[in-house]
Amino acid sequence: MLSSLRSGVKGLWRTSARSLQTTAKLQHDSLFVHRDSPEDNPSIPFEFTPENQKRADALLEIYPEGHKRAAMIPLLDLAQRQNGGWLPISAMHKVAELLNLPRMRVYEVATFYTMFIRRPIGKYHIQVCTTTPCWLRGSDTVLNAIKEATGCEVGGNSPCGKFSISEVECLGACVNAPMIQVNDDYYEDLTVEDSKEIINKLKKDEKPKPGPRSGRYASEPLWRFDLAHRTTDRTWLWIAGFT
Amino acid sequence: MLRQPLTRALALSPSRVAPLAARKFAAQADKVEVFIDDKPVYVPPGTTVLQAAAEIGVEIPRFCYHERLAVAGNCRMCLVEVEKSPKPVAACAMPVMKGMRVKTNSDLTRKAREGVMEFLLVNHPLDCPICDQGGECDLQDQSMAFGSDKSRFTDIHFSGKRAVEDKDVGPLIKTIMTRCIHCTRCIRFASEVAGVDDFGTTGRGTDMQVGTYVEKMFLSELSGNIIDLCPVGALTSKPYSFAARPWETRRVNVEDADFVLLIGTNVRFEAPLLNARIRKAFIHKETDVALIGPKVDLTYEYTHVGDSASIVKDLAVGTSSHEVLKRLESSKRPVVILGADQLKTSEGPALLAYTQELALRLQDKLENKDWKVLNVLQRTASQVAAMDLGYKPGVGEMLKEGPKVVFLLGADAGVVTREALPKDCVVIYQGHHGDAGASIADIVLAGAAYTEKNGTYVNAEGRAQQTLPAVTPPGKAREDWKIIRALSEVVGARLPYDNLEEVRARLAEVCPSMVSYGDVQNNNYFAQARDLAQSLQKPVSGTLDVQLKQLEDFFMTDSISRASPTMAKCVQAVIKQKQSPY
Amino acid sequence: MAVRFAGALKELRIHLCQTNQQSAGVRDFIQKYYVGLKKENPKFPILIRECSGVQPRVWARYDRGSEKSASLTNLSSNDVLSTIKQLVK
Repeated sequence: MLSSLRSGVKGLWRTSARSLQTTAKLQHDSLFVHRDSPEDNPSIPFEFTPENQKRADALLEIYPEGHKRAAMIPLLDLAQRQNGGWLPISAMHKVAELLNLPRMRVYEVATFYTMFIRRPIGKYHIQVCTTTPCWLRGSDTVLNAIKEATGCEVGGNSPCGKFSISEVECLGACVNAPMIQVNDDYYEDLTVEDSKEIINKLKKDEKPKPGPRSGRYASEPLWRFDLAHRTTDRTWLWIAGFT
Repeated sequence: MLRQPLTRALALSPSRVAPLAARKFAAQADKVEVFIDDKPVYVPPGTTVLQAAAEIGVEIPRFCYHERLAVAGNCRMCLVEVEKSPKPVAACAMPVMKGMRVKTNSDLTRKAREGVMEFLLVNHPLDCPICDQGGECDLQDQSMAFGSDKSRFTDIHFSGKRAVEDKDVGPLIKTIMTRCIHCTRCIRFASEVAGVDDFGTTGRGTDMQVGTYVEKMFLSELSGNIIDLCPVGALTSKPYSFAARPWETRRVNVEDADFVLLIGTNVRFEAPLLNARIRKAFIHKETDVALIGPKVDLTYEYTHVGDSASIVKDLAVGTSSHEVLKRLESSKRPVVILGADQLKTSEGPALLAYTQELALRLQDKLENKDWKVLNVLQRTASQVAAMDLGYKPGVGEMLKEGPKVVFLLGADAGVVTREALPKDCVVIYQGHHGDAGASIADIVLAGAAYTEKNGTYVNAEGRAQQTLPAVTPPGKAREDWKIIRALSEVVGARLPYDNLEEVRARLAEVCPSMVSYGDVQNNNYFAQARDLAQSLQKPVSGTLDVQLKQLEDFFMTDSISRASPTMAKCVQAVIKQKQSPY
Repeated sequence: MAVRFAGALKELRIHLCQTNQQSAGVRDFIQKYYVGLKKENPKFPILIRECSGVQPRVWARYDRGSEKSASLTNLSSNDVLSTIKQLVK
C-alpha cells in the first residue's frame, strides 16, 4: 500500500518524463523452467557414488515391480545430498534412467517439491521460518541478523559461497518459535545473539548444537510450576487461558 | 471374452432385476438408473455423470475433460450438485450410482460454476481482443454462459496478474502460456496418443506452468493436434494456414486386434493416425505388435523380427521358427499390415503373394470369418483411386520401352528421372506446386491445386469423397480435366466431355464406386486372389526398407509440403532438436 | 474354355453389385472362370469393380480408346463368358 502511494507521488513529480506504466512482476524466487548454465547443464555427468548406488538399489528394492517410480523422491533426495544440497539436471536425468521413466516425469516431481533445490547453493542452507507464530516471536529480527551476518539475501547465496538463505513456511516447531533450519538441523528459541553465534560457528565449519537455545528440553514448558506449593485455583485458570 | 460382463450381470440378476422388473424399463436390467434433472436415464455401470447427462442431451461445461483422453478432473468446471452429497462433485470423474439424482441447473451448481470461472479468470490475462482463439474459445463461451456478470478481481497492491513465460515447442505451435488454464489436455495427448512424454507441469500452486521444463521441440508427427485440443488461446497455430495435417482417417480394424504384424512399413510416418490407434490398442488392450522391416521408433514396444523378405515367406508357409508365428497362429483377431511401397520393388508381387497367403492361412483358422486380416497400407495420396482406375504401380516397364512422350499428371515423387528417359523424349508436366516432375519437363501445364477445383478423392479404405473449390486458381491455371479436354482437341481426338457431369459419367463407366460418394464398397473374391497369388510365389531374398525413417522426412513427403516454408522450418527445427542434449 | 485376350483388346472391366440378384451370374462367373482366365492372360488387365446397386456390365477397351460394352443383367455365368468372348473378337 505504502509503495503504491510512493509510486503515485513519484508519478506526480515526474510529469515531464515519458510515462510508461508496468505492473510489478509476480514471480517465485525459483524458476520453473531450466536454463543451461556453466554449473548446471546436461553435459556435466552425474553418477551415484558406489556407496550411494548401493543405497539406490536398496531403495528400488522396496517397491514392487511396476511401481518402481515410487522410489523417485528418495532417489532425488539421495542425489541432492550427494551433490552438496542441490539437484542438477543431470541428476534428474540419472534418476529418470534408473526408473526407466520419461525425463519430464522427473522434472515434474523435482519442481513440485520445494525441498529440491535446482540451483547451486551454499554448503549451509539456512531456512528461516517466518510464519505467524515465529513472526510474532520476532523472526524478522532473526532473519535480519542472519542476513547481516552472512551478507546474503533471501533466495541468494552469500559472497563467500558458504551460505544460502530461504524464507520458508511453518516447519512445525511453533512451540519453540522463532526457529531456523540449517541443512537437517533445527535451531529453536532463537534470539538475535543466538543467530549470530550460530552463523559465526558455521563460518568456522564448527557445528553448533542443534535444538532449543532457551535451555529447556525439547518443547517442555518454559516456566516450571511447582504444583505442590504454588498452584492455586487462579493459576489453573491462567494455565487454561481464562484470565 | 466379450460376453463375460453380460454373464456376470445375469448371474447377479435375481437380486437386481427383481425390483427393476416391476418398472417400465425392465429390459434394461443390466443398466443403472440415474436421474439427471429429474429425468431418468439408463446407463451401464461405470459411466460417469457427465456421460450420463450427455446421453439425454444435457451438456455439462468442462475444460479438462476430453472423451478421447484419460480423465484428469482438475479444472472443476463440471461440478454439479448430487442429492445427498454434501459437496458438489466433478461430473467427469464421478461414476454413476444407482438412483443418483444429479441437478445440473440448481443454485448450488450454478454457484459452483461461477466460482470456478471466477478463479480461472483471476489468473487469465483477458487479452481476448488480440487472441487468435477469440470467437472459438471455450473459456470465452463458458464464461458468457456460466460466469458471473461482475468481477471481484481488483489488484489493490498493483502486484500484477500471474504471468508465465512462453515456451518454444517448434515452428507449428505458438504458445502464450499466460493464457493457459492448466487443463492438461496437451500433456495427456502427448503422453497417451502421441507417445511423446515431453510435456508436463512444473512448479506448484500459483507458480504451476505447463511446458517441457527444458527447451525442447514437441517432436511428434501429431504435434499440430494440440492446437485444436487447447480450449483457450495458449496453444495456437504458428503458421495460420497449416496444410499438412493428417486428415485422412485410415480405418483399419487395429483397435480390436490382439496381434498386429507390420511388414515393410514405418506406420508412424506413413499413417500417423493409424499408428496412434495401434498405440492405443497396445496400451489399453494389450495388443502386441511385431515388425518386419528396418528398426524404427514407433512410440510403443514391438518385436523386431528382422528386415529380410524371406521371413515373410517362412511365416507364410509355416516353416518359421520365430515365436511370432506361434503368436499369429494362436491370435483370435490378427491383423497384417503390408506397406504399399514394397509392391513397387521387383520382388513386390512375390512378397504380396506370400503376405496374402499368410493372411488367408490365418483367416482360415479364425472363428470370426468377417474379421479382415490383411491390410495394404497405401502411402501416396490417390494411390487407391489410381489403382481403381486401372493404373499399375511402378514405372519400370514403361521406361524400358523408351517412350517418346511422357505425360506426368502431378507426378512429383522423382520416380521418373531424365537419365532414365531417351534423349529425344518430350516430357509434359501437368499439376500444381510442381517440383521434381516440373523440373524435368519440357512443357508445363498449370493445373489447379486441390483447393481450387472440384475433386473426387478416394481414401485408403476406398471411400470416394467430393471436394469443392475454395478459391479460384491463380493466373492461367485451369482445372485438370479442362486442360486434358483442350489438349484432346488440339491433337485432333476430341474427348466427349464438356462439363463436370459428363466427366463424372465417364468415371462411372470406368469404376462405378468412384461416384457413389461417401460409401465404402466391400470387396470379395479374396480366394480367387489367393489362387492367383500362389502362382506368383517365388523365392525372395531382398531386404525390406522404408522411405520415411525420421521425423524430418515426415514433414516433406509431397510436392505441397516440399513447397511450404513452414514445413521447411519444421525440418530445420527437428534437426536442431536432434543436436540438443535433451 | 481357353480364351486369349490379344490383338486390339486392351482392357476388360466388369462392373457388378455385391448382393443384388441381377449380378448373381456375374458373381458366379468370377468364382468359376476368373482365375483360369487370369492365369492364361497374366499380363492382361481385367478390372473387377464392385459397387453396390449397379447393374452388371462388361466394358472392353480397344486400341485408341474405343470402347464397347454389353449388359450382363440376369445372365448366367456361362452367358457372361460367351458375352465376353464376343467382345474379344
